[in-house]
Amino acid sequence: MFDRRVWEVVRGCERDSLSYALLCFATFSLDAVCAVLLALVITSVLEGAPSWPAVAALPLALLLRAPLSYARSARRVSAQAAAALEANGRLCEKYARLCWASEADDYGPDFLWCAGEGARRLGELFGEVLPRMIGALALALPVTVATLFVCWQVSVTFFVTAVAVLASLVTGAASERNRVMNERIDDMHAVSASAADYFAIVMRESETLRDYHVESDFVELAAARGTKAEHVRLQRAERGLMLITFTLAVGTCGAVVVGHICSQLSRAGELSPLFALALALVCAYATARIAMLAISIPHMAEAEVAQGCMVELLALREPAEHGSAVAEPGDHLALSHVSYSHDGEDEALFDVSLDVPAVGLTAVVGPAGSGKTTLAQVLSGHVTDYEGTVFLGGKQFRDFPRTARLRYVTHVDGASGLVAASVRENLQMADLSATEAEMWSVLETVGLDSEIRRRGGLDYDLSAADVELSQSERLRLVFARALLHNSPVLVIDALMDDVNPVDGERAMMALRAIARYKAVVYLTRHPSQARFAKLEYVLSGGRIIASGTHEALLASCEEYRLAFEEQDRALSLTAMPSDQTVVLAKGGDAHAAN
Amino acid sequence: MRRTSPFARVRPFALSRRTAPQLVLTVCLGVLAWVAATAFAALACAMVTGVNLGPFEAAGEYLPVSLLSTGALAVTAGAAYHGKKDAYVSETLSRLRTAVLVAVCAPKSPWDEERGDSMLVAEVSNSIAAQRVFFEAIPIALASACCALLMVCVSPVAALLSLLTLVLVLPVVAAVSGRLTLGLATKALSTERGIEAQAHDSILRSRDLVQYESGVPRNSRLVSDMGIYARTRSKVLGIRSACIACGMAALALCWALIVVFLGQGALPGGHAGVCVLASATAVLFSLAYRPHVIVEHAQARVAAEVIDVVLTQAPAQEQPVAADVSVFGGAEVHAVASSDVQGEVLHDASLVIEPGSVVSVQCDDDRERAVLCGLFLGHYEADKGFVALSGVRIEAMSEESLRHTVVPVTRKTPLFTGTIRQNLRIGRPSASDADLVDACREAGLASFVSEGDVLGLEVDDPELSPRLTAEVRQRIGLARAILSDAPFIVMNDPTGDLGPLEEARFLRSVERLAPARTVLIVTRTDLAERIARASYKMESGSLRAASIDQAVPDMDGTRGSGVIF
Repeated sequence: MFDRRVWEVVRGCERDSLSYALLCFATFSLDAVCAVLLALVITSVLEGAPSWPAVAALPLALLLRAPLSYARSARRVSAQAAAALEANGRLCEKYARLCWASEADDYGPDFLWCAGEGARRLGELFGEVLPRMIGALALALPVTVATLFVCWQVSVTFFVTAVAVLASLVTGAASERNRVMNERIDDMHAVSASAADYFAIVMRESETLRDYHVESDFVELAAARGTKAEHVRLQRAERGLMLITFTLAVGTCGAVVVGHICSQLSRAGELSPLFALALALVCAYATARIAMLAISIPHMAEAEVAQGCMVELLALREPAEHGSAVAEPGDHLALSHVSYSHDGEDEALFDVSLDVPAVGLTAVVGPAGSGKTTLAQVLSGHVTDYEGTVFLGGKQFRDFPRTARLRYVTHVDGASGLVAASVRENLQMADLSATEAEMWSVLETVGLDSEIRRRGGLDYDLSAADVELSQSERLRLVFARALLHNSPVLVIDALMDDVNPVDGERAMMALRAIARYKAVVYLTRHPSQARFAKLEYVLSGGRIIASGTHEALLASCEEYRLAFEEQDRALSLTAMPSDQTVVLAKGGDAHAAN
Repeated sequence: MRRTSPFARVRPFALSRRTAPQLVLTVCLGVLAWVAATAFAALACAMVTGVNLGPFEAAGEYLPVSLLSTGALAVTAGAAYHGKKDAYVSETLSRLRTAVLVAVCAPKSPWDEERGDSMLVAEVSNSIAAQRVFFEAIPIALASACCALLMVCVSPVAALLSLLTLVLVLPVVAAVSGRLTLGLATKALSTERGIEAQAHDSILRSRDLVQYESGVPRNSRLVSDMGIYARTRSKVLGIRSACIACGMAALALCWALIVVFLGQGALPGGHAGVCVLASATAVLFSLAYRPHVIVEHAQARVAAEVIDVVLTQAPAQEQPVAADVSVFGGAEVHAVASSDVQGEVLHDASLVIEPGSVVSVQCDDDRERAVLCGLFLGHYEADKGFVALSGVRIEAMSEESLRHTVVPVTRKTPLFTGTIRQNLRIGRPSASDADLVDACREAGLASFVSEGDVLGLEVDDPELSPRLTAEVRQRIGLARAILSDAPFIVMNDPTGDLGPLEEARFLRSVERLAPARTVLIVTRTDLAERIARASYKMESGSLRAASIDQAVPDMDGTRGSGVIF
């Protein structure tokens, strides 16, 4: 039922889990002692001579539970946190290795789910459910052995009852497992999360809803979703209750039989009433403990789903990485007759050759779907199974280890963004040892220094709820980080294509400032944004159809000139591309296809 | 926003009135479970110790059968009690959620100033969830009280002492655990959320972390946060469990004393009476002692105060209503000064919008844009000067009339999880599919709606849906405004998230709205000037006319044929 590979992952919680199991066993044993004391109090009262030591000992024994409970909680939380952290860390690591492969897009939501909810469930399983199970089952063993010395009938009955309860638990677990496996992954959590999100969004957007006079409709919709989520939760709780009822019923039958045997033995004088009652109570308690494990059954089934998902994700094939070439600063990056196809049929790039000068802005201009993104990934070394050659300092670029490629070329695209942390932490991503002066210097280069100072300096927290950075500010911060990375080449893919002109212009100024120090390759679909480049390549249908400066291309390349004029007219609203061209995007920048 | 009201904890209880039948059923099942469990425990005790059952001696013949039947009844009734209790709590919580949303959406709700704060939204959502404990406490308390009343039949003194014990022990456990853990629990919760957000962020930003090789430092931060969380959380749970154990010990002591002192002579039936007394008291204590309800009480109390603030916000009084505006006759802002929460934003701003025209305002500042647009929508009020629609001052218009006259289009059109159809019907809930398609075409979404059944397309997560580009999203906002039939559309930076070409295309669609609609479009770029009959520029809080009655260039037939990049 449990995969060894997952156990290997969460091995960090082993010690805490075992301690928790031991503490559970200790607590349950203490409870058994309390049951004996209870029997003592009752029988002594029945005999008309209350046992004062027992009366005093009972609460004292229960008081002893306090330190045990405290220690138990600490172990439980540590075990859960360690298991969740290990699972989460392993998934993040795996995703980082896959993030440039197509699997990253296909499995992205699964990774997100598994690293959050899935890791939590595994933590619950290894940190709480299993140790508690071990503790409860471990109690059954001494009870069986101890009762064997007193009365073998009781021992056998208790053992049979415990096995029967366990059998019903296993049956319940199997049926719950089948149900969970057949359901859509995480159906219940999806429903409740969607209801919670909907509630939050209606609350946040209440003003707009009121502006449209539809607030009551949406309150109803939110209420309906909330009710549905509660309904799903209740259904699950009901199933859990039914299982507990069943296991408790089985346990009760066993307890009654044990009680009956004890009473017979008591009447026959083989057992004193105290022994008989103590025996019955201890057996009943141990049976109830096992029966109550039914509470954990739904957790186990859910953890199994998480485990299956995690094993599948961790088994995804990673791109092969090898190579030992060493890059030197100043090495020249160039593409020579590179062709590449995603599916082996349609070629995304065909016979592309281009040079990246050591300093300055090089632009690649092309319409949507012309192969810009693929070219950027080839240039950055994320795609390595191309035909042709990519040279870095005369050596094959793919022969460099991945880290060397990442350090030589910084790739920034539409998916690049800021992490939810302070400005300082975002900048330190690029260079952990960067000094304050260096950080301010890059911020100054992208023209953000005064803005960041105004907002409170480098410790300005971007994850705070009230942060309203404009697109230009975000882009410029991304640029500042890329600049701080200090790699010789910066590849920027379509970053400003969908930015409004005011923000785009500011970011472009920043980029031009960066291009004074290093090689910048800028890929765009707007000829006007590429006009500052030293050299422009025009990419169409995966081929380079022309190259030169902006002016030279305007004069020599008809396609480029028409596109530039068309855009110019469109932007001045004197001629418009048909607005009928807006289509649902299928990914990338394909939505702008005309 | 927090202020304490003595009714904070009582008010949500009022919501449970409508769920009273469920409550009664739950309490009845609780009492039944108590009776059955008491009978089972007493019979079992009597059987094992071999005591004289007195008046129930006849039952001695069938003890195992009676035990099995009472045991089965106790287990079943107990399960049914828990099931019904859950159902009752769920239902009441749903009602509470609805009540909170209704209060938040009430016209001119004071919530308006704060609602955008997502932390606050999360706080309210969590506070509602925390009320589960309160609602759970109601059936538990009632069932326990009923059982205590029934115990009077067994022994009035025992019933009184049991009740007294509960009243003394439970509040003490709740108070001590609340005092010791409240701050820690809040800290643990916020750290846990931070960790979740961090892990989520790490996966979303994986490419950047790989690019800059910063996964390891980030991971070490996660590890240290997890350490803090584990320490805090284990303290909270540890203290709570210790308090629970102490409470149990106190109850056990009281139980033993009651049994010892009353057991001998308080009940008829001699020894059997002792068994009944011991069982009845023990079962009552275990029924009333719901540890999680007690130890989470302090958090629920704080949460109740948050909800109370939302529920008791008094909406501003409606002004006397003037005649409804039936025909839109233009809008005017006259020498207006207006402020938001941070201070004055507009001063001496004047603007005239002729009916059937597009008027543009170029404005760089977020606050100025928000206040200017908000003035027409009634979100902000003029401190000086006036804002009028069709010659009627906004403050004199009825809420109903205002909503039918003006609709907004914002920078990021709010999308709700659900179908595109539901999202469009915000404009007009009664709209048919044909109306929706027409509005989409008018908003420039012709190819969007021709792609099969897009109206039924589910938007699972609007923020992450790759199928909804910024432009499609904004055009959905436009289609919404078109559907609403309101004559005046106020657009606050609708092109803020669009690229230059998308902006140009969007503006073309806006231009086509005139003369059927009147449009005020406030943008950061000055491109909108070209489609506007009159345009203004916002300069430090006041409006300057940039051009008026500018000839709108004729665009027909000038479409180029080159490659569109």
